[in-house]
Amino acid sequence: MKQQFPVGIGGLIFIMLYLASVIFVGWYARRKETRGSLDDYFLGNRAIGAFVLFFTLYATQYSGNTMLGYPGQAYRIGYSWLQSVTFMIGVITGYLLFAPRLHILSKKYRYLTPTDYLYDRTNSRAVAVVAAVLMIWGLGNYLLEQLVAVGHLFEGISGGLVSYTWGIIFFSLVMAILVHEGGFRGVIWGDTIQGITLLLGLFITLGLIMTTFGGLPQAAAKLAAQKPALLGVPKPEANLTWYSTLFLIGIGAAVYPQAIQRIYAAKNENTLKRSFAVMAFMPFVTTFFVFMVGIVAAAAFSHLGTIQADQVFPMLLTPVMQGSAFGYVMGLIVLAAVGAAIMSTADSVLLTMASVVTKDFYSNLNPQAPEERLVYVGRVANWVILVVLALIAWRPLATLWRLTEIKFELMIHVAPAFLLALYWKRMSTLPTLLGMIAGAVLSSVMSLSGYAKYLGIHSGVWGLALNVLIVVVGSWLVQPSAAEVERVQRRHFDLFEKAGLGVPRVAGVVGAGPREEKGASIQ
Amino acid sequence: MRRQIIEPLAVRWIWVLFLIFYLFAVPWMFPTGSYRPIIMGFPYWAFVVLLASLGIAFLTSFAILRYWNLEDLLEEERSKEERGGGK
Repeated sequence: MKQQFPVGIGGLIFIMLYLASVIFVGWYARRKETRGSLDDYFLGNRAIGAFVLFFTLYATQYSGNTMLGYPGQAYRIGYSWLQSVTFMIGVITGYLLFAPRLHILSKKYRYLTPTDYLYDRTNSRAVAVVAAVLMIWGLGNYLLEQLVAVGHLFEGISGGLVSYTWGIIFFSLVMAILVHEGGFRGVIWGDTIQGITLLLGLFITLGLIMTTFGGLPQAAAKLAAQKPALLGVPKPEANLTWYSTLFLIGIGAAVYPQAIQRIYAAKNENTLKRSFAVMAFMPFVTTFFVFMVGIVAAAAFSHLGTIQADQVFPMLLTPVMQGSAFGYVMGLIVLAAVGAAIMSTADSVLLTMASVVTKDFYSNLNPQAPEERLVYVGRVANWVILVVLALIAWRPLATLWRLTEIKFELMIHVAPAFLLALYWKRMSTLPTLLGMIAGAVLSSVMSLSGYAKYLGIHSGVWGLALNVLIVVVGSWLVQPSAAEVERVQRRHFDLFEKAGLGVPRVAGVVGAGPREEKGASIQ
Repeated sequence: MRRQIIEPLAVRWIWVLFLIFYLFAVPWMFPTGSYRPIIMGFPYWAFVVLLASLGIAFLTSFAILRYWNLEDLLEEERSKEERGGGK
């Protein structure tokens, strides 16, 4: 089913102007660039202040799937989709597990990509390459998801005038120019505009839909009569899946490579802390709002199919926009917010993918390449990645939600390497490598053979359990050399241990640190 | 002014509280299929889930602002290096 946004020619002009402003941001950001600097192109010279950092984290974390896929999920499963509020908060909780130490180490050793840290910690090119491959796979799916969403969006808002395919091509072109020209600075400045647009659009969406279709009380009363299953406490297995989702996304999204790069790029610890502290509350004005849209839709439209359910957002918006000039203008802002959610996630993911390709692959194959050359390769990589993914986007695999699950199932396998490496000095290279591979293989095989969930638990979580088991048991069996132990101690643990911050007492249990509030004090 | 070097992971009671909040963030303890009373458009159990989620958000934010200070480690190291002639 095609989306039916009645935007007309005025709406299309509005969207064109919006996209033109994105290109302008890229052009302007390039004027501020330090030429030929990888740090500048991929991390904005590591000088991102709290305001911009907050909006780039916000706009990047909430994607096209949040705006288009999540209402459909609320439509399908009802009130248990409140889990989307919890798991988005859980992502910020997940940062608590590694961001404090990783930020400090990244300032000390100037890491550029997530795998830079893993390479430094394990001294293994194989670990870095496998982690980079998993990240590229996950990010590729993430970007693909945004392209599919934007294809449908363009087709819908133009009433079929712009086809799905041309929508993807047009959007990709604008994004490629932004990232090519502006680099990280262009992306985060764009994210700031897009984050504000997204917030504005969310508030307008809620206001419009609640006033047109009635609020939650009416929706709940109607559902109690027509679809009581959507209101009821889920079955035990569904509750287990709920926990599995909280775990999968809380850990998996926290170690998103683009998120890790923002930890590197923060100007200082204070800016990072302030941004995360506010981010913890953003699900209440983002996924919670979107959840309410889905519940109202469930009461307004009954008996939609699985694919149709992904279209409930435009279905609700259509009568609002047709109802009045005010509704039309507000609707345009909401559409811009959907576009902003897609663009802000896609551009960040694209740049991170380009940095991984450039630094983790090209630079390793050409270690003598000058920095200026690497920046050039990074710019070219943006275009190549987009062309490849746009070609794949012609054949979307499943509903938007299923695409999300596929990326988590693989990308989550870099998490143990990060989380254990930061606190457990005994973690050895070979088991880390084998754990990542075995976990990723198990998750993939389960998903491909129809076991995306087993006993209610996602294949990604089963794979993660295997991954952690191999790393922990293997590290107890395989001892690193004395020289390696000394190197790791000096580079990664001395700094923290001198300040009284220890390592876990129980192998593999990250939560066990030194005694409560026993950190050192300095003047 | 004394600033404590600390990281959230080192504060155990926070993680115990997280565990409690997460226990209530999924409605496993309520009878399957039940939804009355409905309060302001929410089944009773959804209120519990929302409150638990709010608790997780507050605790996360609190842990970040109160128990995260590692940057002084770098400052201290830099000043030591300067005092030691940049060794």
